[in-house]
Amino acid sequence: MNVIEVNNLRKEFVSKKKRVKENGKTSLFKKDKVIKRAVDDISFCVNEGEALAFIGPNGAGKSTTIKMLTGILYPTSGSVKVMGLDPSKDRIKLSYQIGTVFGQKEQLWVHLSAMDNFKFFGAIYDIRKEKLEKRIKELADLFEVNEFINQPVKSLSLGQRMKCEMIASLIHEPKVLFFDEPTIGLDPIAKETLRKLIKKINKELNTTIIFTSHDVGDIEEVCKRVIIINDGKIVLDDSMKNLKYHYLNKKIIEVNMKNNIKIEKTAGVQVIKSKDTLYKIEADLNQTTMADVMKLFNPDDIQDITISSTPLEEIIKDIYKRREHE
Amino acid sequence: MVAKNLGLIFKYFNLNIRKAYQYKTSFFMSIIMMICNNAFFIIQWLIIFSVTDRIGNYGFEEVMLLWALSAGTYGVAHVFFEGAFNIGSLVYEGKLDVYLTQPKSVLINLICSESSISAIGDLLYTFIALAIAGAPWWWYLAIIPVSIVGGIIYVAVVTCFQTLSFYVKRGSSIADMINSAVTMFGNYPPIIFNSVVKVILFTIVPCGFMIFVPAENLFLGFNIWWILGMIGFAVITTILAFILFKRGLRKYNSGSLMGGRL
Repeated sequence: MNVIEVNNLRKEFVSKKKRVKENGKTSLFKKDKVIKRAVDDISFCVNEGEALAFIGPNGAGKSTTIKMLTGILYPTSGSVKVMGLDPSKDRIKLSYQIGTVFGQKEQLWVHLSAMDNFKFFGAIYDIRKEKLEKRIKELADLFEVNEFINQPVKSLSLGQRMKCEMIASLIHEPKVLFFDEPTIGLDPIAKETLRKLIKKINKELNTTIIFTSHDVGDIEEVCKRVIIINDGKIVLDDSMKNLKYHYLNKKIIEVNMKNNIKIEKTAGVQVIKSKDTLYKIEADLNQTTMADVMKLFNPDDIQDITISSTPLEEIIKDIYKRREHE
Repeated sequence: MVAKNLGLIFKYFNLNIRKAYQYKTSFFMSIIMMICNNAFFIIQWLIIFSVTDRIGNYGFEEVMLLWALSAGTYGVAHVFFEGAFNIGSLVYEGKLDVYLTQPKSVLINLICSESSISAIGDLLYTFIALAIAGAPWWWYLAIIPVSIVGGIIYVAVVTCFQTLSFYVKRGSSIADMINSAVTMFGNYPPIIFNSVVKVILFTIVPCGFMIFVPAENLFLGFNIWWILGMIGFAVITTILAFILFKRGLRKYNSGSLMGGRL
């Protein structure tokens, strides 16, 4: 069953810019309309219980799409159905069915304790007292927040706060949960904990997850399907397995050696940059293994090493290139 | 629905009081300072009435009644609906998202989400001013519903002007001006204003229906039609505020500023 159906969705933002005259000077009074198409004719469906990653670089249109799906923004054209409801017409009905976690916008009252916040959200969603207490206990156990549940939110770490944000958004047992860059600003350990929790929500509570991020690492663990969006358009809608095989199999390895070395030609290994004792190579893990790549360097001579995934911008470029070849 | 919204208003009030009460000294200081601030004007009026006995049919007691009504309506508006005075900046900064994802009327949810603690001083001053005026017992009871209706008028008119922010950058400056005008004109006997000013005071700066109508047609005299007119004005401005806000919401552009609820 489809819980989300999006057809030819479009969102335009209109702004005004001072008109530039023929002589190059800007007009004092006359302005021109500037239309920025943030989301450009996108269509997709999401099944019940699915964990979908919605990724793209900054300004790609991810958050705008999420905001149209949650009833925050009105679409310019196209149609959206979430749980069979139109978010811009049935906002109140829909809000009982969905939950939202915005990494950049906290919904908790920072001067109050997490517990007081949960009770407040229970009241907002008209949950009866006994049911609310039971629900808070279940979620507090699941997210392991009992230790700090009575502390003011302002005294919690960012990771602890995000856990509380997630509880607040789950208090009314939503069927669909939207995460808009929830890991923003978190340290690697807190990120990992949060990813595991999102996976748990998806599996144990069978909640449909829509997860936006510009960090590919975020979604590898959590989602089985991925939509990549760029300049408001869908660039790729595929399984995570395929994305990993075709695009996430490349790793960038930057090594600083004690001395100059000669890197032997190896299948799947390409030297991108070599300057003095610094080497930057790209390894295609479909053709070689990380163990084999590491054999190219004498471990005793390594001063520093960094291994990273291909940046999202590179993956998008790669997708466009492949399409041109096809 | 009314019960649910009343419940929400008191839930928010409770949270805001608890939030502010964490800093007890500051909490009590804000209230006391507001009472003192209002009380300083008694000196001004004592000086004026030492020169003249009455301004029209208004003596010192009647002016204190105006102060009580003005403090009451101002107090109700700012203690329970402080959010209405910040709609413009929230719209401009794209901070309505939280309210839009909750199953409540965005406008009600937004306007009652904040409380001005110092305005509690205004609410208390209402009764202090009545005591100074030597008011009969029934004034103390009647001023409560009158202040609520006046407060609703005040909030509704301010909301109507705040919604300009959906269309014009910093459109809320007109609402800020009206806010200042209410405090400026509401405490003076209406007889001193000429007919042009009176028209303004019965329309865009709603002191007329908030303060002058109940003062002259309930406390100092009685005219049921004016009282009904006040209630009617409250209903019309409230409906208008909801319509304008709903229309404006279609123009809302969310923002990506980092932020939280303080």
